[in-house]
Amino acid sequence: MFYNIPENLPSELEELDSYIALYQRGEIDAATLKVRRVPFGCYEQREDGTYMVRIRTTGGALTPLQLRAIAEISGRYGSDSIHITTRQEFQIHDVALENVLPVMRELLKAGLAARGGGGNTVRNVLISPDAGVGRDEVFDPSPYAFALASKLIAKADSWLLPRKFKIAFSNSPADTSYAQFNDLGFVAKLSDGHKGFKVYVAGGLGAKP
Amino acid sequence: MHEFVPAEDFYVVTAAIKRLFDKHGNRKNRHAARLRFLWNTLGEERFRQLYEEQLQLIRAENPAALPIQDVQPRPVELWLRELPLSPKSKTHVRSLMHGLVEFATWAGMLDVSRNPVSLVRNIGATPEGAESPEPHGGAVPRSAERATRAIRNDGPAMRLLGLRIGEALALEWADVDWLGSRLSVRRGIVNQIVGDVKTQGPQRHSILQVNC
Repeated sequence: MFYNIPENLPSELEELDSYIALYQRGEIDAATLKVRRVPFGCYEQREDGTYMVRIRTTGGALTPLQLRAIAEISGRYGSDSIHITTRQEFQIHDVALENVLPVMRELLKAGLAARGGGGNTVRNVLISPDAGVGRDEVFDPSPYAFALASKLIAKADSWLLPRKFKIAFSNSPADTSYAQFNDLGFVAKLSDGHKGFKVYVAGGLGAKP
Repeated sequence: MHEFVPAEDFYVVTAAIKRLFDKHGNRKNRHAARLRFLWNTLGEERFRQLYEEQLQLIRAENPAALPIQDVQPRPVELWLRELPLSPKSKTHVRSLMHGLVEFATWAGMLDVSRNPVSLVRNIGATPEGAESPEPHGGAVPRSAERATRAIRNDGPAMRLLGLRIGEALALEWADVDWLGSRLSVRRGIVNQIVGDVKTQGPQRHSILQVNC
């Protein structure tokens, strides 16, 4: 497992479930539900009534059993293909609203969470795709990224930020995780043989980088 | 932000930046809310000043260091070097360890991102997959030579599975379903031509029984 599931995730899922039930009974509107479900990595697709669940996978890392679990869950509740994103996450598409919670509970059994897949939260932590094998690697930052992801997703204030917060780890100055374009970026560096990082903050792309 | 931060400080840096963003970030306009807008609004000097404040607050809280499960192949390497065994035996020890760790990771018993044993060098042993010197005049193509070596190494396994030599040679990784313990035999090589197996009969699946 590449991150630890926060202890309160099961109870948070129950809470989300109750909001979905309220929406289905017409007691809250779509916008109210949206505010609740997006920070759980659940977006509505272009086609009304179908949803996407974005699974946190730090650096895109999964155990073979987790990968199989995702494939099985997607086959049962979603589409035949899985979307692997530029932020190194796995997305299950074409999920009906009533199946969103079953999907999340099944993921939980496999040690996976969609929490923080969207909204103003600490988003998936990136790692250079060639971490651990890159020829120009200074050192493999993966253990740092895994530990950091576990720590941050266990903190309640990670879900209530002013806007999304993106972190990346690169294994060499070539910066293959684009640490410089994330809100917080770490690039592996040695100083007198001691491990450390060159740190970038407030990076980004878009209209005003 | 920093030219160099020691690895053990990477969490306090993260916590300080996150808290700075939490506290001072723009919550009114989501289109101007990312951290870079805060940097632009405050200017570098003020940003660094507020960051230092948060950093000191965090350091005062003295947060527990994060458990870094770093891969340390070096001790294994040194241990292996001291074993009173021949390089060949050490190769076997190393590959046994590699296999065990590989299985433990697969079974979810170990939380490592990669097999640490793969980083262990066994000095003095012939590297895995190393090409032996070119035979006289290079008459035998290297690929053929590699194939013969593969047969020699994997031969017993292949015989156990009841594969014909042509079928074994035509196997591709995609034919092996590791999780389902199945091996699909779809192709064979006859007279150096890769083709479908001739009859329906041989198009079979072998069950790779692994008892662990």
